[in-house]
Amino acid sequence: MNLIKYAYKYIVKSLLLASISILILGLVIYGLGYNDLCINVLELGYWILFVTPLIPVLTLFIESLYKKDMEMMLTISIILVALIINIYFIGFSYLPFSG
Amino acid sequence: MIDVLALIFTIIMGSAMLGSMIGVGGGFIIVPLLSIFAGFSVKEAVALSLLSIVANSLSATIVYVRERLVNFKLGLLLETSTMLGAVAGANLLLLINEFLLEIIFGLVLIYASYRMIKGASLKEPKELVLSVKKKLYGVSASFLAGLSSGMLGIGGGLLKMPILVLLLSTPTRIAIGTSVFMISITTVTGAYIHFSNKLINFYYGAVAVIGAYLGAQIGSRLSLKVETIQLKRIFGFVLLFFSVIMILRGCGVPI
Repeated sequence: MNLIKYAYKYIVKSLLLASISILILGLVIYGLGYNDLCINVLELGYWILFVTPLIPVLTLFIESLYKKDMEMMLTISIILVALIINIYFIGFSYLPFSG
Repeated sequence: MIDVLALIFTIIMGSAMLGSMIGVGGGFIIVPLLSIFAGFSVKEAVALSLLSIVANSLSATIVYVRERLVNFKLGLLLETSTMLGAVAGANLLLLINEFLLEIIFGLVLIYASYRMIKGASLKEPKELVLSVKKKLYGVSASFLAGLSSGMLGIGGGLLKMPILVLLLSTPTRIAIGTSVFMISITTVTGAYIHFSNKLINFYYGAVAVIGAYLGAQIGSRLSLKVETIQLKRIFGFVLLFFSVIMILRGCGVPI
């Protein structure tokens, strides 16, 4: 089972393209002068972008459950917990110049 | 406004092209260029940079996954220790002299760049072989890389690539693919936090994401055509440039 390959090929790619299409649409709406609508559309585009990187992590977690790969399960669990702690409790970027 | 948008698009697209080609996010290029040429404050530039790197790294990873150039297990293992190191590093920031740390890290990275450039012509390993000892080295080095990220605010890819290539003897293209995969996980929290703190201009961000996506598509495909010797040398010189900047900053030069 190689779920991750299909996850990237179909889900991640689709979500990323959807995000970009919505952002382009938002800019077009801005160009037409509908500022309020434009902000809402752009925000939707950003939300889709932020959710997309979680898809591969969750897919790998499901794959590790299926394969009973304890090492991978533990690794991903730590990452997910760290992500949640980072966002909700610490609320800062530890990689401000991430590059 | 159009000229600012065009400038952002150009800077981000160019950085994404280079970054996705050699396995880094490009923040160390984006932030100074946006500050100098577009008049952004450092905070705004960092926020926009992180947002664009999310798009850049996702876009590039799609290409590398298709070419089977991403080692997910290794990436996740190293990412875990990097994240833990970064959280620890951010908390230790107050205890350490960051200028001295920048000089030390700059010197370490100069050595890494020398190894990358000099060793570029050496025969590439055909596949990745990870012993328990190598995994331990990789995890420890990633923890230190995360520590330095947390303390100095320096980026993931520039530290992860030498770990993957030099320490773990990962074939260069797999190292690049794995590195961009790791970056896509690392940057999303930072980008989201800046977004929720309203540090990202919606219009600039949209243009940045589009530029990053296109640049990464070009850069990652270019990476598949360029010889690995050249990729290593390009990365080596980029690392050398960055390490010199770190040393200068450590010596108090305002860069």
